[in-house]
Amino acid sequence: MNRTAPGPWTADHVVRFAVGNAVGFVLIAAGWWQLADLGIVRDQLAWFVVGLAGLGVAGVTNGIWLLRGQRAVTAARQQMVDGLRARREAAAPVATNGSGYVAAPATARYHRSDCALVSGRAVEAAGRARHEAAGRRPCEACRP
Amino acid sequence: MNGRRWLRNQWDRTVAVAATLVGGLAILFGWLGASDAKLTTEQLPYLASGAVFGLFALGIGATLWLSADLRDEWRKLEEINQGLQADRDRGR
Repeated sequence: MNRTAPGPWTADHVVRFAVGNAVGFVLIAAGWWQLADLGIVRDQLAWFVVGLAGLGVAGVTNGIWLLRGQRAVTAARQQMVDGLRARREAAAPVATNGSGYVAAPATARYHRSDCALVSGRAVEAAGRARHEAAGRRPCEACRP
Repeated sequence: MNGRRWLRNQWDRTVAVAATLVGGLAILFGWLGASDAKLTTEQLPYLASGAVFGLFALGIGATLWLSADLRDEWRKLEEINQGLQADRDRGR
C-alpha cells in the first residue's frame, strides 16, 4: 500500500493536534512540578487539578482529531459509492445474446450483464450451467 | 521489507506502541512509588506523574494507532476514487 500519500487530515488539523497535546503535556508537567514541592495536601490538590485539566485538553484534542479523520474517511467512502453508482448507470449493458450471464475469461465469477464489476470489460456470454461447468460461481455483488 | 524501513513506513504505529509502553511503565512506577510513600503529600506527586502522565501517554498511543487505521482506509479509498476518475476521463 502507498503510505507516502497524505492522510485524511489537513496541515491545519495536524498543527491543532500537536498544539493541543503540547498544551496538555505542559499543564500535566506544570501540575506535577508545582505540587511536588508543596507540603500541604490542599495546595497540592489545586495543582493536581491543573494536571487533570491538561489530561482533559489532550483527550478532547485527540477526540476531535479522530472525529475529523473519521469524517474525511466517510466522505471518501461516499465519493466512492457515488462514483461506482455513476459508472454503473453510465455503462451500457453488455450484450448477452440471450444467454443470460457474462464472465471475463479466466475469472472465477459470472455476473449479470449490467453488473458494475464487468462494465467496460471484455466478457463472454453464456448460460448459468455453462459458467458453472467452467468452475465459476455467482458474483456476490450482482447475485445472478 | 526490512525492519528499519517498516518502522519508517509505519511510524505512527511505531510511536503508538512506544507511547503505550511508556504510559504503562509510568503507571507501574507511579503505583510502586505511591505504595512505598506513607504520607498523602508524598503520594500525590506519584499520582500526578505516574497516573496522569501515564494516561496521557496511553491516550496518545491509542489515538495514533486509530489514526494509522484511518489513514490506511483513507488511502485505499483515494486509490479507488482515482481509478474511478481515470475511468470517467477515458469515457468509460
